[in-house]
Amino acid sequence: MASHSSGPHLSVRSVLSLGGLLLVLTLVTVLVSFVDLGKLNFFVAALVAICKATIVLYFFMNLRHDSRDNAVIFLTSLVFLTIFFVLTSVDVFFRGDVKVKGAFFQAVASVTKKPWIKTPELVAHGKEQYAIQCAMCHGAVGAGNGPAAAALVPPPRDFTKPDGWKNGRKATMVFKTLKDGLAGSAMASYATLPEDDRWALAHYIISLGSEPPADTAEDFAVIGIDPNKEGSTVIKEPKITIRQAMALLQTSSSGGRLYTGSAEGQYGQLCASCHGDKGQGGIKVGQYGLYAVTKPFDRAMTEDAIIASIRGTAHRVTTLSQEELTALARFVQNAAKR
Amino acid sequence: MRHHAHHFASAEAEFEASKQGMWVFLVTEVLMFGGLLVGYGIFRNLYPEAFHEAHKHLAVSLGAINTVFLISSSVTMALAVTYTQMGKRVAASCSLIGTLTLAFSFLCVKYVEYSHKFHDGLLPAGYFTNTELKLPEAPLFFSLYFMTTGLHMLHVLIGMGLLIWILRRTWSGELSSGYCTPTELVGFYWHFVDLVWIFLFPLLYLVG
Amino acid sequence: MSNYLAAKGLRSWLTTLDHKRIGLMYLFSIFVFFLLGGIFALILRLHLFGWGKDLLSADMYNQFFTFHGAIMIFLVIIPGIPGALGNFILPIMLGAKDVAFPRLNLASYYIFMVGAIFAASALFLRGADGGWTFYTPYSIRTNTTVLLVLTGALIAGFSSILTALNFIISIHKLRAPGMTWDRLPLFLWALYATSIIQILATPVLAITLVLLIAERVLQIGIFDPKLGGDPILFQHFFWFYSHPAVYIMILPAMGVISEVIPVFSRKPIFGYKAIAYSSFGIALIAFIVWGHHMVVSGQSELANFLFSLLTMFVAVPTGIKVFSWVGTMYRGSIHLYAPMLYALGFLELFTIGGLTGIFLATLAIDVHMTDTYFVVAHFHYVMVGGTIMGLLAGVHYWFPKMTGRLYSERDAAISFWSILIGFNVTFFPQFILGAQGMPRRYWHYLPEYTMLNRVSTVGSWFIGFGFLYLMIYMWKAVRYGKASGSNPWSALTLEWQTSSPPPTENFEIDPVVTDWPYAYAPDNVHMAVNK
Repeated sequence: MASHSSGPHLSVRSVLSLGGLLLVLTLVTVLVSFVDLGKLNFFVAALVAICKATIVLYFFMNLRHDSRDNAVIFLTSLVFLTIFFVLTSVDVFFRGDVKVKGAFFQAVASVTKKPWIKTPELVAHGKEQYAIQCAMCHGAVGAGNGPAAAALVPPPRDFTKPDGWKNGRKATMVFKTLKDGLAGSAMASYATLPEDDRWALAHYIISLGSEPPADTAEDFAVIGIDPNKEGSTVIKEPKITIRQAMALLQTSSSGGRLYTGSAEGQYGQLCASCHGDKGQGGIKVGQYGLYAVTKPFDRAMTEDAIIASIRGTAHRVTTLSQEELTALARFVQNAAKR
Repeated sequence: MRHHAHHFASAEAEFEASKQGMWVFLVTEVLMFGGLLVGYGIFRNLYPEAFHEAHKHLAVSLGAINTVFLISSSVTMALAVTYTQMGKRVAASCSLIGTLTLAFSFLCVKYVEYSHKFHDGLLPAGYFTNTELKLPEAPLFFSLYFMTTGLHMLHVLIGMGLLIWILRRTWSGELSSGYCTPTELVGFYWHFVDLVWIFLFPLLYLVG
Repeated sequence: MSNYLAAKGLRSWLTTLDHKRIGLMYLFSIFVFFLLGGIFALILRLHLFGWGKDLLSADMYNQFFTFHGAIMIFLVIIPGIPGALGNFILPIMLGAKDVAFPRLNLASYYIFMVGAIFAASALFLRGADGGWTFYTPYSIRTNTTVLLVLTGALIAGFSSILTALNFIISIHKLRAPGMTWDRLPLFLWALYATSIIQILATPVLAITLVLLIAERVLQIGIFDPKLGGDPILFQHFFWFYSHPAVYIMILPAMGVISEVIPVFSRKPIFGYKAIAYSSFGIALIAFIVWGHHMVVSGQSELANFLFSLLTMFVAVPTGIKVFSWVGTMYRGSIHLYAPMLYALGFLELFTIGGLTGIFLATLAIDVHMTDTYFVVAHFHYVMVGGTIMGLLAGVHYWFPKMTGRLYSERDAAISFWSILIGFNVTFFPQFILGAQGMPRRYWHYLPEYTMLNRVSTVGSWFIGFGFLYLMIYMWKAVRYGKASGSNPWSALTLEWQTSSPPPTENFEIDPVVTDWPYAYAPDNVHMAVNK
């Protein structure tokens, strides 16, 4: 502080050499940017910028000789800027990311750590899930004659018959189908369901017909599961996002009426298996005896057109109320925008 | 020695108070630019591909030239402060003129850049007409580009006004080794303008 | 001996660099804006008296509550205590001749007025709607002259920054000899914490408003979902300023209360350091809780949880203050003069406001209470019950200092009780209305809400009467009030150690501080006479 009015705090020579240093650093950061270092590029650029900023602050703006108060004052701004960024990020980058343990599969998980071993609780839970996830196409009792079945070629599997199962009629193989889907059919992957739910579904679906042969070690190898280990390694994610949970809660507690709840839940049940979980289309389905590939949703669709299409013969979704149709149409429009 | 204001004990105290006032003012500037940078950080992390594609449409060479101009102007500004403190009136004035010239060159390059972007339809989201960039979020990059560089340019313009004011007072001998608070404070402001650009340049032009 | 009021003529006021005159100019302007905002409030309440008979059209209703909110927040409550009382008292309390940058101080007043004129001009054009929060995307699309109000708020923001800068540097650099940090009066501690918040938060408001203006003018799309932006990001930007702004509003009022209570209890302040440092606790927490305004906005559940948790911490420093004040009064010799009445009013209303704040901070309850009258009642209890009560306590406390005259204590008591009772009658029913589900900002309501709405409107008339009465007796006191003497309350802080009204340079002899300012004792007190 004594520097004031007792001569300059920087000599001409040091000003010039610091300037030179700054220009060299500029050259470095430009050159590095032409080399692709992946994520490292950002950190190198940030590091060089911080070095340059420090030189400017420390020498040109004389924090070197200044009272410490002023440095504290300046640094405060950076602290609060960081608070601003971090707490905003907590929202922006985590939307829909908080997962919960839903009551619907918590019961199952607590019963068994090895969900591939059939238990009455698992079957009962599978029955509940079946009504939500499968009955639309496969029919209420699994005869392959659900409301949407007529539109699908090949037709949905009849679970009551023992023949024709693409992957074989075993719990492990049904689990595999639920995980991967079946190419060339409307059977989409249900990997978005928690694993316990998929096992519960597999057990229930098998229970619709006669007793199948036991799962072999090779079967387990195919789906990458070691049946001797406890499920803690298998039940990787016994959690779902809050939004999914809300949709499920609304559907499973609707008391008999299957298709209620949020438009997101509706979409998941009614549309996703043919149109894809994001409306991306590209799945082969049949109409009037002809094959067709579903198109991605496009932005130009009006709400009325969507509703008309949902009500049309290809879809046969007749259980929805007008409000539910509107909500679903809006959801589809939004999906198209993304 | 200039007479100090009646409510300060000494000229020294008045200078220290003014300088601290400047630092507090710079805090507000950091948070104002910081708000924009937070917006940039959020959208860059939400849409990394779009931002990466969009940043390729900025001319690194022009950005680098402008960085050189601004850093050099910071150097001449620091020289102006040093010469004023040494009481060298002519050298100080020349340094200030140098700073002004470099600032003006910065604006000229910015003009070339902006007109190029206008021509290519690389404009804020609502007016974006470029057809090469197809990613739907890419226009947001240019919204942020124009807001950050625009606000920075406004600061350059204000700084030039202050420099002219300082230049007049230095030339007339009013600001010299005895009293050079305005020169030092405008210097602080000018270095801060440089500081902002030191961060904007890599964020916008280099890493996108 | 000539005092600061000696120079006559409009010119001597408009070009003054004297902090005391600038403070009075703020006080007068803020009072005018308060009247304006108050008239809007009375009309809104009148409209809500009869739900079938429409006094206002729906559009007019939207515009009226927008103006009521924007004027009261940006032009009254935020600049109120710092601009008026702070400017007047701060340098004298410090023992300084003026604030650090007197020219900047005057500039700040004019910038404030320009901002106010911008905002008010919207009144005569196409108005503004959407509330004082200007949420996107509505504020981008509305056809009203919202641009003018935004520009006005932006300009007023700069004034706020300059005042805060001036206060910080004055407190750092202009303390009288001997005034160490632990002898700094609590009002100054509060103003210091307030100024820090203003410096750190207001620039973010500035850039937010600039972005919103650019959104309307240049369609930059950052906050516009149609163009790929994120409207919730606007709320983050807005509340990063506007939540700390809540503490910009309340902290100075807490400072006033900390001055008034020991003087009128004739006891040393209880917990000096706790009160001083808790101001900083509040200032810090102010910046990490803003997301509790956005619980149902669609922000992430993680953010909801985190902000709810952090918000609970606000209760700690505010609790420390409230208990310290109560502790100061305990076994004190309490003199119920007007400033003390208002301080007690503050304690009652602010405590109700603070406790209902805990309801709202609780995530599960807030989901139900968001945008209901419960919120309206809560923030009126905090802002009016806190800030306006504090402002009135301060105005009554320092009135003799400003004018050298005394007002009638009897009149002041009438006005106080009318405001206090009216306030509770107006706003307490709104807690019940909100809990029953009446949404805020609605032009119409269901018939079952009629009764409580009518009670609320009747209460607003008492508040209106109270302020009208206050204007009359204040005016009378300025013209005909008895001379107060230099220190009618026998107070110990520096501003009372000079004559009332003070000389232009504040002190005849430069003061030296030798002790902390709260060594009050119950006996031998000379208090203002006309009680």
